[in-house]
Amino acid sequence: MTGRVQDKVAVITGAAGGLGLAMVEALGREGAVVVLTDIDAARGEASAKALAGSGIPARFVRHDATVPEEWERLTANVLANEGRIDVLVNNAGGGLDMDIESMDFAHYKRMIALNLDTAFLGCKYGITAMKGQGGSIINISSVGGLIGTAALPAYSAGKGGVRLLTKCVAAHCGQRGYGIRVNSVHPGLIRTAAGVEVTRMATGLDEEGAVAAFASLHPIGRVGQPHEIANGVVFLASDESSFMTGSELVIDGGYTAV
Amino acid sequence: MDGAYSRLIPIGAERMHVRIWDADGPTVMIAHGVTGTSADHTPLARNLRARGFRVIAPDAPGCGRSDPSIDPENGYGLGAMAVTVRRLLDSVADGPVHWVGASKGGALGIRMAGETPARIASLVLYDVGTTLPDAMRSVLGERLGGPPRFANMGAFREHVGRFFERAGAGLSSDRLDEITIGWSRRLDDGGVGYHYDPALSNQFRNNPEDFALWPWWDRVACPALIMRGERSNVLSAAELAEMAARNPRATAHTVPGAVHVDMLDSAEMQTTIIDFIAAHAGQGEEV
Repeated sequence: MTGRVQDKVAVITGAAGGLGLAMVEALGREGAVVVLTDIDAARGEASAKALAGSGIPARFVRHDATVPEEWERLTANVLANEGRIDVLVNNAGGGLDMDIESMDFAHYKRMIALNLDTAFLGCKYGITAMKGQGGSIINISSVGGLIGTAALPAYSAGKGGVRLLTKCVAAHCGQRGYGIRVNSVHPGLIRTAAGVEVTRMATGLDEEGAVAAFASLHPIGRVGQPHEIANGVVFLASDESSFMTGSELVIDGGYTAV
Repeated sequence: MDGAYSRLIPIGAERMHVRIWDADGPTVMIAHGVTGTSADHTPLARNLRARGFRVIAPDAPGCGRSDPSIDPENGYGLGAMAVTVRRLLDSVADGPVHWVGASKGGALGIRMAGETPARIASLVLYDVGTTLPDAMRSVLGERLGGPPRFANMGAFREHVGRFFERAGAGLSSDRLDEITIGWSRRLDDGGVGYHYDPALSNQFRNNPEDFALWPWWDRVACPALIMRGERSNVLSAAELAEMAARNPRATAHTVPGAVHVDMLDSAEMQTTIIDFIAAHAGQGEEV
């Protein structure tokens, strides 16, 4: 049996639920040895158990992706258990944003930590683990990392930073000959609990009303499903994307095309 | 006792009993079957030690002198046991170990090697496959859930002896003594019972993924020796062949005349196992 990422060791952060969990499942179904991390240990353990129950071996490690020492611990843990890291998906992120006048500085800094520091630390520690053998680092950005909206200044500052950080890190890895590709993924609105919450806050509507309002902004006519983002992550994790680095994979139903 | 010593290793709030035979060579972990103990495979452990291997043989959670799991519903599933064993290995082993597992101990080895490949240098499995027929699963679950009680050690010894006879396995009188002692515990009323936590039976109901191990087997990248008893009622010849076909680093070996219940005592089996481990002990390890 050979899946598209067979036997690659893949670490996915912020993966106890939502998009991250979908990525774990997709990578696992294609043969990867998957490690999911999250700050929510109970949810992470439950997700790992559920995955095992559906035939996907997965290990959970509790991990706060905003803390450097936790990245040291995580990489040492994975190297001791799985032996190497081939794929790192910096998916941890999110948070609830507000317009610039409403937001205080402390909240802004927390949003930057959650969305940009996590990617910075992931790249830094991921490179340390991977540079002997090569690999693929996938930074989850957003359409919010490509275009601005009044309601999401901190989120977009973070996700926009992830876009450019990705290109700089890709250049560095290329120049050093590490064999590490680094790309960003930019999801549009995806039907997850977090995604729906963002739409409700942005529109003030109930769940169905909010999702419908956002769906109409996507030329494809609907919001996305988690597996549609996960499919892109599998592509970037696999050798199928062997000539891609420093680039943006936009999976947004046409949201940023218009 | 033949150079082995015992330790109670803290794993969270519980303790795991582990027997250790020290040596300078690579570490071999012996994992016993579902209602076995660390004493089951002592003859194999001694011979591994004689060949220079360091041997660690724990009592699984809920077995022998190890504490029962704090989570009787799911703690005896392979996933929870793998977490516990990794913590044990952090304490008693340095780097990857060579794993020898019989029955459930083998299933745990498949889970470990598929999930955390850097922990396992090589895998020897006796009579365990990736699946278990549903009928057998429910029979085992019932039997384990209600262990019998005996008036004294003699009565328990007779019971254990009949168990081996019915299974088609021969045991010498001396070995029957040893296994009876290992499998027994004193009951409050002065009688004798089996050593294990009856909640072990919950695995058969609560952890169906433990009896569908192809996803883990397909990720096993280390050298593997998959042994089957010729008269086994647990691992079919067809499944053994498929396991070997799916894993280019696996070697299949059928033991003539052997049944599922086996203490790995025979000279032939031990030579096969020890030679296999020795052949793979030099790969990527410091000896």
